[in-house]
Amino acid sequence: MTSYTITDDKQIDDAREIFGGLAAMNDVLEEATGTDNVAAVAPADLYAFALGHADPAASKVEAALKTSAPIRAAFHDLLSCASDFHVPRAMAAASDDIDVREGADCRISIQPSEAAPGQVYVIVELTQAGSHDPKVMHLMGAGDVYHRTELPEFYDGIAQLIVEVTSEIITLLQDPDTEVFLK
Amino acid sequence: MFIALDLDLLTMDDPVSMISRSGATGTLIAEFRALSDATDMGGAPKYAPKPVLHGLARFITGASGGPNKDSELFELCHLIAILARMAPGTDARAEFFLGITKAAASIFRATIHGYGDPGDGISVDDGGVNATYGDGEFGVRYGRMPLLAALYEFLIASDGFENYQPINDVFDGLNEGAASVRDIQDSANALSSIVRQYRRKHIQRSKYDDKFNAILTFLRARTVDNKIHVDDETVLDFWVSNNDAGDFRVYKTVFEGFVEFMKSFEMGGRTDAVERSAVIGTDFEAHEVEPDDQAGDIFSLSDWQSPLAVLAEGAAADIKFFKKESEQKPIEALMQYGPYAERLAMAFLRLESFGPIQAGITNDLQVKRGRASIETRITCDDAFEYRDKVAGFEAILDHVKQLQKAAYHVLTSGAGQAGNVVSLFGDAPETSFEAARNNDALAEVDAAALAEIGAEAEAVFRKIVRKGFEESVLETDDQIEGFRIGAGALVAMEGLLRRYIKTAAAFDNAPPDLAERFASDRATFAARFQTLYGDVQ
Repeated sequence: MTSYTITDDKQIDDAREIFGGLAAMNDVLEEATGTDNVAAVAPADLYAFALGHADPAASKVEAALKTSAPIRAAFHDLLSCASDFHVPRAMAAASDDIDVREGADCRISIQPSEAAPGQVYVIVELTQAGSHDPKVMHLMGAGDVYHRTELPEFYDGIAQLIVEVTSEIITLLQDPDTEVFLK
Repeated sequence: MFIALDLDLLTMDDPVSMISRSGATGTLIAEFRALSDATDMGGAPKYAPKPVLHGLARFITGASGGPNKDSELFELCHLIAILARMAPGTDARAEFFLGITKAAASIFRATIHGYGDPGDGISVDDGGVNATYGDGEFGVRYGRMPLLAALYEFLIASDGFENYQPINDVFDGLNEGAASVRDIQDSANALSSIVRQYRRKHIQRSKYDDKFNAILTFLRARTVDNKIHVDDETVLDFWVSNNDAGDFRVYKTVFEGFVEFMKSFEMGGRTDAVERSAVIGTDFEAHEVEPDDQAGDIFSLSDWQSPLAVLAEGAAADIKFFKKESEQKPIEALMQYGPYAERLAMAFLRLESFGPIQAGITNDLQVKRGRASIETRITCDDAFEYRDKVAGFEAILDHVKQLQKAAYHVLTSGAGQAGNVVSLFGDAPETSFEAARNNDALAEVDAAALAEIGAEAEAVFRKIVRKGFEESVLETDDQIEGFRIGAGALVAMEGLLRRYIKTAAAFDNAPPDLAERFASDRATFAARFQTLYGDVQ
């Protein structure tokens, strides 16, 4: 038999608090291994996604970026710290579409393809010699718009993609509210 | 409907909370699960279940109680201040905490050593990293960093990342190179405030308070003085007499409730001895508390860790000490409850015999298996007899002894002898082993017996044919380390099994013996099951 001497209300209150904590802890540990609950997005998933790593949670992250403002804000912060190049929002909305975006040590331009009407080149130039070649381009548009694309190999500081003129990447690059991060 | 009684659905706003059956919201569970499901680049769990995730759950729920329950925040703030002074790059903090490698002490040690010259005010050694501030100093051990990394991840993702910015602002404030201990205390307290709000929002304390109060009221009604008493019969009486079928309809829930109740009084008793303070810090004059002051003591008393969990981690996990169904499963609950199974030995035996029956009934109801199965189970005719359960423990104890001998052989042979054995058994491994084996005093083992012990251990090792017991392990550092870890767990298992079997034998040697107790209990459980489930369709 185990006996406890009750001394005062404070002892009871302390024990009650600890009991609640222990019971809640057991519930959390037990339920986290169950099948009823799905996992939320982990910060490490966001970070891996920002770095362009292959991550089994990538589709979950991408969906969360389009539905959760706090997750977008956190992702933006992680990108700001981790990315090698940043193209900020354009200063003013032009009446015409923007075909050139510039950031520190980088430039992104859109050029029509003469060989394939309906397609355009997206040319990413690194203007600082010796820069680390980025592997992935993140486009964060206004509101909940987000797009990520992998970059091809750079040659002499230039990489180019060919995409449909109606593609999301072009729409976003031409939108002055879109920020671009290269990592 | 029966299911509705068991699923105590919460009514909080977030839809995820609707699927939580406990006093924790679905949001909390999902955010915890994000970390428990996290993997490293090889697909292995990023965070060890114990002690990391266990420690994180304890922190989130405030389970340590008392003034030190947020002390990990103080450690985390120190670590972030240290990284700010050591780690290069604008995303050094993210890289350190959110990388895709396993969150292990050895990884963090390598990372910190890789930073190169630590600079003024920082010193790095094999145990951890220490910082000197203008007004004090503090060290963070590598062994704590996996938990701190999990905590970092949990905090910044809490409430669907709603807390990311305020928490990040606190951490950014520590990026100043001249951060003082006072700054760190203030930062930890700012985080504590956020955590308190999170706990209030996501942990339904009243549910747990009601459970505690139900047990306390029951115990107080059985005593006339200011003492409350917990024993085997108390647990059974509470379960049988409890009319509030919701929380306490399941005997296992009642047993665990009493275990937590006992722990809470014992941990509360420890914290009583310490000055209470709402502030974490190192200003002892102001009664501030340091993280290491109390938490270790409290949990070394009450936070038993199953030796089986130890065997499932790290290098030991690659060695097949136990076959899952026949050798591990029968002792899982005993190892889980540890000292509390010993103290509530009959209550635990009831749990072992009748718990599976009730679990079967619950499962029948959930899958709508039909009345016939339920009615068969209600009779308890299929319950394990107590003597059979104890005989099962005895058989596994024999196996544990064999494993100890095998581990002894590994740790005293070849590469194992070079160093690992010393850290496990101390300066005189053979005598410690033999003493542990026979429960003798160390001095009673004479040197003449050592050769015989070694030969016996070697023979046992060679006889075991299963993964990890190959001759080649004697040359493999990782596997020797696995046996070193395993040997410690095996000693703990042997002690617990021996003591439990001895207690059960004492019950069996006095009237009513175990067979009579089983017959009586079977009638009690069958009657209670009939009351609970007799009319349920």
